Amino acid sequence: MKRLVVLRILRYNPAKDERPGFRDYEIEATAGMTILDALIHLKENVDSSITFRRSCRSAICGSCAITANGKNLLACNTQIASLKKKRIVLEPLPGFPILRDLAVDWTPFFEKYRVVKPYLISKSPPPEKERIQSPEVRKTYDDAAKCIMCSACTSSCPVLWTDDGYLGPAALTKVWRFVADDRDEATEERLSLVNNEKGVWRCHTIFRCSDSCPKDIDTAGCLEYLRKKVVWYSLTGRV
Amino acid sequence: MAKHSGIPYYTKRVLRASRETGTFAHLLHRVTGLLLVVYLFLHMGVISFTFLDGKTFDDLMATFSSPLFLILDLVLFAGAMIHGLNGMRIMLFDAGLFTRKQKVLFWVMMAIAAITVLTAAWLLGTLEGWW
Repeated sequence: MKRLVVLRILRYNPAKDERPGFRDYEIEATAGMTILDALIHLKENVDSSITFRRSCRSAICGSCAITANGKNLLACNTQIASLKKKRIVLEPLPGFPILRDLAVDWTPFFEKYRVVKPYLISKSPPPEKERIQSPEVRKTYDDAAKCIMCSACTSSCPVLWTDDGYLGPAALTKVWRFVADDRDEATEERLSLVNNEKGVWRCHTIFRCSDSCPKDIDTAGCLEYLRKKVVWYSLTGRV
Repeated sequence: MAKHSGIPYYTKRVLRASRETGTFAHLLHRVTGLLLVVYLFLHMGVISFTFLDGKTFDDLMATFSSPLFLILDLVLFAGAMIHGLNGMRIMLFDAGLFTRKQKVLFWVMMAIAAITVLTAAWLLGTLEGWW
């Protein structure tokens, strides 16, 4: 079954345009067609200048995160039919500088990601085999470990739209991922890093991060667990 | 380069997203918070009239007992209930509870606020003999 849909795409070429503007493209949406399929179809057949990011097309790489009808999502795993609209407004992720059309500059996102040291820190000598972890402990950060770093949560956070310095939900979820991991031995260091007005205390609990996560991570929840941990460590004089 | 942060950017986007429960709760919390702050200063201003003479203050009190001000009192009460109950909702999240149920919890809190305000309105009407 085919259905006529209008894709309203925010076009912006900093070399030519003074400001971004919308352009409409009509497309025959076939059954099962995703937003990414539609964009690829437009680029190949209608307008080759449309710019967007994509790579794996299976919701693993996180490259194709965009805003569709005001909601951040992955273009590759969102079917046009699921949006139930005849006109779909596609915009680049908010809160980031636009490089061109739907592609944004992710530098601020990855800078904050690096700040939180997104890797296991172990001070004890490595064991003979692997570092053992119980399934129960693994379960405590199951959610946070699913992150694919698409930045849909961070860019949807209204706090970041006014405060560029805020670490943001993705970086803080990563901190929780390692704080909850009992193999990591830098809990105090990590908690000290986020125990300030640019860290966990900047969140206003708006829940846009959790709502926009394509992997259904309870991002706001992870942040709240982190807050609890910070409070507990502060009360016991460890941070 | 197109603007991607700042107060106008935030305002435009938050208003656009206000159909989402979490963003709506965030907006409502700020609006009711501002309302309560404005009221607090007005209240302190009015109370300071006691420094003048008793009659001025009594006259003011008589004005505040008129139906218009009683209805404004109800609006204030509604603002305080919404702000307070949403604040409790946020405290529950801070305790690590119900983060997956934030939408339902918001409407539960708003239902409690509505019941309380309607009860207060009924009590006020009965005491004032409106019905």
